[in-house]
Amino acid sequence: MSNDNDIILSSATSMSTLTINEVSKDGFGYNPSVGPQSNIITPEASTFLLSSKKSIITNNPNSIYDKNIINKKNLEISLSSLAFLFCEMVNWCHSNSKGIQDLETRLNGLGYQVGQRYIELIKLREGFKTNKREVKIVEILQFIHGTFWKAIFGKTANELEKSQDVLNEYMITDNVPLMSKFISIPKEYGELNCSAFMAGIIEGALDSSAFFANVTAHSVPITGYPLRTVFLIKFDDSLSIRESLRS
Amino acid sequence: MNNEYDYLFKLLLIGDSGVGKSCLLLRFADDNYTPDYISTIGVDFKIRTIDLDGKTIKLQIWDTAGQERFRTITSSYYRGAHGIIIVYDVTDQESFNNVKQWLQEIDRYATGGVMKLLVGNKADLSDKKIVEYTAAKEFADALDIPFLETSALSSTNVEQAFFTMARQIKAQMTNNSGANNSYNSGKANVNLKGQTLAQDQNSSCC
Amino acid sequence: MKVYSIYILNKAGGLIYQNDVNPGLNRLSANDYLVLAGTLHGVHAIAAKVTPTINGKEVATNEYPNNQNAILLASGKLQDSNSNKSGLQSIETDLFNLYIFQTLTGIKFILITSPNPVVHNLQQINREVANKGELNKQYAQANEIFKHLYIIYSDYVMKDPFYSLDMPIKSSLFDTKVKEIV
Repeated sequence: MSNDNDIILSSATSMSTLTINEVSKDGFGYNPSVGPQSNIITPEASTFLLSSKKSIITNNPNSIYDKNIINKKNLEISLSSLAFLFCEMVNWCHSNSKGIQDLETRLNGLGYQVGQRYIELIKLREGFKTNKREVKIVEILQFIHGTFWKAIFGKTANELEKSQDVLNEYMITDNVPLMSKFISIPKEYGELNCSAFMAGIIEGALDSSAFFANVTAHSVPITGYPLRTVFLIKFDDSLSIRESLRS
Repeated sequence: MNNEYDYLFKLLLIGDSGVGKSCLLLRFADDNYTPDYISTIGVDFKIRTIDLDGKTIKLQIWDTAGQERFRTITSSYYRGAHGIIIVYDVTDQESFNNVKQWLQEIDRYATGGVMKLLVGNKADLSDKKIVEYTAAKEFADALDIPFLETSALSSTNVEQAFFTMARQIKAQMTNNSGANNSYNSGKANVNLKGQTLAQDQNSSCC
Repeated sequence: MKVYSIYILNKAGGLIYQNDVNPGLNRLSANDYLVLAGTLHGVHAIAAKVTPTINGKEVATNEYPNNQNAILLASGKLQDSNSNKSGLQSIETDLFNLYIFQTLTGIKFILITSPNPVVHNLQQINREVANKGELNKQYAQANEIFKHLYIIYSDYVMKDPFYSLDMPIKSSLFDTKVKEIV
């Protein structure tokens, strides 16, 4: 299979000698026509890396890292980065979970912590303008549906409804949930909805505002919106007493 | 559409010519074999569909017969392989000696962590046997590679070997843990009938 | 130009997506499609080896620089998402055309389309020259589709946590988007 003068060296330790003719001479990085060897850091490649002045964090005072926390303008992040991060979060929860229910609970738990913190930030930013606290269920829901949603996703949610049949139940609908925009749920996962993470955010925000609730995410696709999701918000019974006192 | 299989694993069969790679494959993959397909470009394919834990897996086995003439493109055959089977002939010492070189080829071209399997073929020719089982086994153990002897006559071992390999590869795949307990979370019968709440004027203007 | 079929091959030459978006092609068995895909993969690799040389030097280096990734990192701009510079790019027959696009990581997108609008064998040479613009147009159209395919692949396959790399694509959203493209 090989002539004696064929140089065949094994394993990574000898790679540097192996690559004399294999690696690209004027650069580095993956080259599909060469294969794995093209990723090896050669002296040329390391010179290039070291001389490259590019860094991810800029020194520009206007960069997103240096903005004042109450600044509301141009706080943009990349949707791709967010989607990849969320993808890993789902994977991570998935690998630890015992089933679909468990997976949703884990996503919800992660979101809960975000919601608890995020509401503080949004209130801080909004506070300078309105400076009022929502004390009624309808008010807090409108805040979540409007301001809160807009701060996170750059748009308000689509519908805000009260349950026709069950007391203390409300629904917020998002036709295109941003976080799960790219996620197709395989058939065998049944009713799984990765927006459980978002449900957790809402739950955290509501709990922090002393509106104790349980929030779940449900897929209710309609034509044109295959990912349409209804967030079912079930408020604690104690709230109805509080609510009746205030009316 | 593309819903006929859940996984596609690429297995590669290498070894000196004449050791019986093709016979071995014929035995394993005869549930779908097209005898009229001629290996014209240095590689032949056999495909075997198996079921594992309720998932349909296609094992696409790349038989690199006659590949000496096509050595220049070897890397594109090794590339992305999930498992590699190295075959030698138990009646041919030279083919066993060359296993080392085949392993070096794997190191050179294949992805790290690829599954390997050493197979000694033609075990039924016991009177002509030169490479002893123990010697080969020792060699394989030292390199931590599973080893078995087969023959075109007895296919049981082969079957087992392929299944073991497929199972190992599948286990390596991410995000399939706990995926098969697809019980319904009982969310289907949730009442989602509602009436729209009046929109707050303030909430929509920020 | 009518697109009959879209295939996607992983970097190992395995068929991970196959969709007959428009009727017109004969159906093959699932295994035959796999063999077809693997064969194309091999032919593509061999074709890349016949890169022409002048005075013993490869001329294709300008076309597909080895340091493409270095350029990419330095400029932040991808010159061309199609890395298929020296391999097989298209197959043209009287009944169908086949185009191959390769990403930097070695994923191949393959389109099978209606044939070139060259009219008939009898109306030769002159007509063919006159139709040259038409041919380029078809090639450009295919490239446009590839670009969109690559984008939705990056979005709806790569960002889906339920997708395992190099495995068959079963994303329903991806299917929908593919239909929208064609």
